[in-house]
Amino acid sequence: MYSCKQATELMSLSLDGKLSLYQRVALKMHLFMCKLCSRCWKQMLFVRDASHQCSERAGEIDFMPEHSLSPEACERIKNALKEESPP
Amino acid sequence: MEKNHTLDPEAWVDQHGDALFRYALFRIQDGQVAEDLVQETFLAAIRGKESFAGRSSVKTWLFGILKHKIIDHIRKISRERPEENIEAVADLAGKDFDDKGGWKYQPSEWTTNPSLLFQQQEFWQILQTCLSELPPRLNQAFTLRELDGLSAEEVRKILDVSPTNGGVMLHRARMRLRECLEIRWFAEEA
Repeated sequence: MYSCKQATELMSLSLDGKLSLYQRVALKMHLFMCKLCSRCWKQMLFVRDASHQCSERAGEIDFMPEHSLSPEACERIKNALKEESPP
Repeated sequence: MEKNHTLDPEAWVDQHGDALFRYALFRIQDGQVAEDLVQETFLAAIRGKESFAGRSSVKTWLFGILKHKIIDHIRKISRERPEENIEAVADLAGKDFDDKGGWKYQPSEWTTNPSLLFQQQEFWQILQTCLSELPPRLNQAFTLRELDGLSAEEVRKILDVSPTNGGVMLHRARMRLRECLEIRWFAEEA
């Protein structure tokens, strides 16, 4: 019988597809009986799904909105591009 | 509109430089490195612009290049600073559980509608905050796995850690993020 701590380790491994058949069955039984681990499992799935959404929407989400490329960096990058570009 | 600019790299910098820089900063948390990665992204784009078939937007294409640059950077610093991997595995052990492996801090019930939540800029700000509060190696393990979509095996090779330590790092990251969202978003919401 797994402890709750071990069960959370199995949850994480299962998200990476690394559980044996025995571990899968044991985790399922633990989740069936343990309300707190069952919550934790749903929340781990939520964290994963939110992260996938974050990746898919990378172009739309305002990451670090208070930061910008400095004018100096812009200039430097443009100069590097000019040097790289064929005339 | 965007098509007119596909062959004008200087316009790319004006149009997409900030967004790329912010994403790089979010992932790497070092302004100087983020600037360098953006520059490398634009240079790679200019060298490969013949291969840009216009199937996606310029922005999506540039983000794709930047993500590869970020992965290469993480691979490089993992080899240079292996001691941080040991710290990541040793850090925060067993914080949530008592000696017998039972819950010490009980997860609360989250009531939410993900499709509404994902429309809110505030939620993404909180997720960014939670990711940035992870120890760097845990952040990298998690973002490589769940944002870049690499397999756990690929992640552990990039971070240069054993399969066991790679699994431990992903577990720690997931538990910390769960806890952080609970405190910063769901408890505030309730």
